[in-house]
This record gives sequence, C-alpha cells and structure tokens, in this order.
Amino acid sequence: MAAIVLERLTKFYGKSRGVLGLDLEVAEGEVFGFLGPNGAGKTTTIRTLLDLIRPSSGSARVLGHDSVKDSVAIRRRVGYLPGELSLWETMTTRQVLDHLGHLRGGVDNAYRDELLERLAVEPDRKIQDLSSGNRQKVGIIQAFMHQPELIILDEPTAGLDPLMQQVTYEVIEEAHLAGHTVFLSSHVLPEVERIARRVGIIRAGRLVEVETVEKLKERAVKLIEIRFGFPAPKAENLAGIPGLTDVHVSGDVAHLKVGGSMDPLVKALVPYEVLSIRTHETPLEEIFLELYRGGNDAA
Amino acid sequence: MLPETLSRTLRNRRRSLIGWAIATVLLVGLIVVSYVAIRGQESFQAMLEDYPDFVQQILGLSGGLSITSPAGYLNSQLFANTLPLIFLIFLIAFAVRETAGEESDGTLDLALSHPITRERFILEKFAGMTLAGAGLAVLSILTLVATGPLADMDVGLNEYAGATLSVFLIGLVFGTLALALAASTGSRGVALGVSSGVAVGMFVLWGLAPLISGLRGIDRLNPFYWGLAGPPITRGIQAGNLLLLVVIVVILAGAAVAGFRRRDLGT
Repeated sequence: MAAIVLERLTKFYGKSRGVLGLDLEVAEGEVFGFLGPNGAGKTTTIRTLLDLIRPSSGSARVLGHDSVKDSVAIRRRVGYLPGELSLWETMTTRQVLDHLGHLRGGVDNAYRDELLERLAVEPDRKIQDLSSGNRQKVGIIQAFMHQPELIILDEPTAGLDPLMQQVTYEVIEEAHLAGHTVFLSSHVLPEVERIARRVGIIRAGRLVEVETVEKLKERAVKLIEIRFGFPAPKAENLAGIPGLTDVHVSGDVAHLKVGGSMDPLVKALVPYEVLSIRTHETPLEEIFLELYRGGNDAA
Repeated sequence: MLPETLSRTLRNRRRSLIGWAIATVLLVGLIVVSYVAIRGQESFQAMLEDYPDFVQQILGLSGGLSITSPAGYLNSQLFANTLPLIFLIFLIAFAVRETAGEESDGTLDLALSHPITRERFILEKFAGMTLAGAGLAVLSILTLVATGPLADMDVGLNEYAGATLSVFLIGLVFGTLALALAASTGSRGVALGVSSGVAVGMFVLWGLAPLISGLRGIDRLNPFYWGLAGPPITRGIQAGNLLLLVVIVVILAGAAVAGFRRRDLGT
C-alpha cells in the first residue's frame, strides 16, 4: 500500500494559487524529498495531508485514509514537524512533550528521552528561553518520539547547526531502516541528495518532476576535458558525435559537454591518442536550479 | 482520554487567572464595604429620583429600588454595570486569546496535527473559558457572603448567588459569541470587535428600553434583560431566566464548533 497518494490535488486560497492538480504516490518505507522554491506549494501540500486545510478539488489519501474524512486516524499514525514551528512559550520542553504525548496517548518515553539526549536538549527550560535552533530540536523530537509509521517534515533542519543536522539525518535514517516512511520538504539540496531516494520537484504549484536521485544524476550533463596526444582532432570532427554540445578545442585539449550516454564519444575517440579524460558531473544543484527556473521541463 | 487541551489552557493562563481572581475579590469587597458611606444618606436617594428613567435603568435603580438599601446599592454599584463589565472583558478576551490567538501564534497547527478532533479542541476551549469564569463567579459570591456582614447588609446567599450567576451568564453569552466568531473566522479583530460591539449595543438598548415603547418586545431578545431584570439581587435565583441564557450559550457553542470544523486553518 502507498503511504501517500495524491490525486489531482488542487488548492486555491480564494483566487490565489496553492497547488494545481498534483498526482503523486509515495511508497511505504520510502524516504521522499519534496523540493521547490519558497511559495511553490510545499507547505500547502503538507498541511492538506493533515487536514489543517482542505482540498479545493482532488484528494489526498494518507496510509489508506482519506485526508478529510479520516483525519484523526491519519494523525494518530503520523508525526509532523511544521515549517514554521510555534510552541507554547511559557511551557518547558518537558511540559510541551508531555502535553503532545498525552494528546496521542501511549508514547514511549524511553525513545523520547533518548532523542532529548542525542539532540542535546535541556528539557526543563522554558520555550521562551530557547534559541530558534533549540526550538527546532523540540519540534523534531515531538515528530519522532512516538515512532510513527509516517513522518512528515517541513524543512526539518532549518536553523540547526551542522552537528545537529547530522543527528537529525541519523534519526531519519533510523526511522527509514525501521520501515517507516519519511516525507520531507526542503530547499537544501545536498540534504535531499543525501537522505532521499526519490524526489518530487514542485514549481509554481505544479509537480514538474518525480524521479529517483540516481536517475536525475545519470541524466545530468557531464562536463568533459580530453587531453590528446598528437594529432588532436579538430572541433568539427567531434561536433558530429551524438550527444555532444559546446565543443571547444584549443591546442591538444578539448572541452565538451555530454548528455546521456558516453558511448558514442568513447567509440569516436578510438582513432586518436587519448592521454587523459576528466569528467565533472554537473552538481545536482544545477539540475534542480534548471528545473526550478522552468528552463528545461523535459530534462 | 483526559481533557488535555483544557488543562493545558488553564495551566498556561494561571498567572492571568490569579490576577483576575485577586482583582475581582478586591473590587467586590471594596464596593461592599463602601456601603457604610451611603447607608442612611436619604438625600442621595432623593437626588437620584430626579434622574431620567434611562439613567435609573442603567444604574440598576429602576422599579423603586433605593440606593441606600443594601440591594439597591449592590445593584447600582456592582451587578448592573461593574461586574457584568468584568465578566464581559474577561470572557471575551479569554475566548479570543485561546482560539484565534493560538491560530495567529501558530501553535494551533501543532496541536491539531495530533489525533484530536476539531470539535473536541474547540469544546475544551469553551470548557476552559466557562470554568475560569465560573471560578470568578464563585469567588465573587464568597466575597459577598464574607464582607456583607461587615457593612451590615441583610442580603441572603440566594440573592448574592442569583445576581452573580446572572451577570456571569451574560458575560458567558458574549464570551461564547466571541468564541464562535474567532473559531469561524480565525480573526482576533473580528471576534473582539463584533462581540464587544454587540455587548455594548445590547447594554445601551437595555437602558433605553423603559424610554422607548417600541423596544418593549425586542427587549426579550436581549441577554441583559434576562440577566438584569427583576433584579436578581432582590429576587434571588430566577431559574427560568438563567436557563434561557444557558440555552443561548449552548447554541453559540454549537455555532463555534460548526464554524471551526468546516474551514481552513491559518498559519
């Protein structure tokens, strides 16, 4: 069974656009990254899953339940970290976690205390005295402490120092290993590359891409530098090879870009003496930026 | 399941509740004790009798009540204006703070991402407001009973309780109206503005009623009529009137639930 199924999910706020016709399936046990620039509709989608807002049309099913009709059943099995986390200022961390635990019932305090320790949170300080990073940690703990089947995180590492980001990644990884599903939104690309197996990219309310991180990388354009022995081919000789673009030859060095398979290029190089080939993969960031900008929807 | 939201609400507001409790006890106590300065000043009563009906009604001295009598004094100084105002301010502020306030703070998102229905959430907020207000009412009654003898007042518990419960329920009607507006719109401004505006308007209409014959019937739509007519400080607990106010409160609480259930929550 899929953990999350969106069918033509559309949300308007009055006349302004939230999301438009989202179709998406997230498998159980998957770590899914939901990427997009600010205002693209990430938070709108997430808040719909929890029935904090209702679809204008289309539907969302979470763990087999309809997001509007069975919202309590969904929320019982989900952990959620809001994008703009607010906690009750006059309560201590322990009081907040106790309160949220009681709203659920049956929360295992051992795991909660382990998280408090690993994230180095002092439980008896009031929320109003905590830095934004420490508040965020409290948010992470409450999302994970009941070891839910589905964890929905809206920008989880916002405001965390690198050490605590690391701990957060580990906690996510452990949940994944335990067979739980993680759905996280982010605009921090290395983060998603690191923890998600598959990503959806949303731009201006529409899903423009759903793909595994590997496939995205494979499809990336590679920058290649070839050093030839004598004689080096002329630029015209290389330009005809399928998949090659931006060919520049200066002296015995050629710079070019290859999209997709390297095979045609390697075969074409057989007649020449090749001293070295260096390839630079386009960073994933470049691919995302391209998709964000909408310059290359088909990429 | 324990009423977690209710207990969290009361716990987080305990400092404000303690402040209101102290202020209520002091105010009621001071007003009662000050009666010794008015008692026997018949010239004062003679002056008030020359005032127009409208002023007498607003002052709680209609129907031949004398300000020099304990009941007349308490009605004019406490039950017809001061105490209703206290309950109105306290309950409206509580309702708005705990619903639309939590929404604009953003803590509502976190609370309602947990397995609690919206109905339950808003009803626990309603219960919190009602309990807190009832607490003030009980303190007010206790203060009256404790300080009344100091000022030689011969008013019984039934009258104290009837008068206090009546004005508490007037406050609760408008507090629940504020709750319904805040729950349905998420806007603090709308809830605060409309509910206090309606309360002030109704209070003025109650004062004008003896003046304008056309208002006689409409009077019966006014919560102030059901809470202040009698007045309860001479008649004691008027169960029918109180029950009617309770019914209005229940209807408004239902409206709060319905309004909160159907809408998108803000961040």
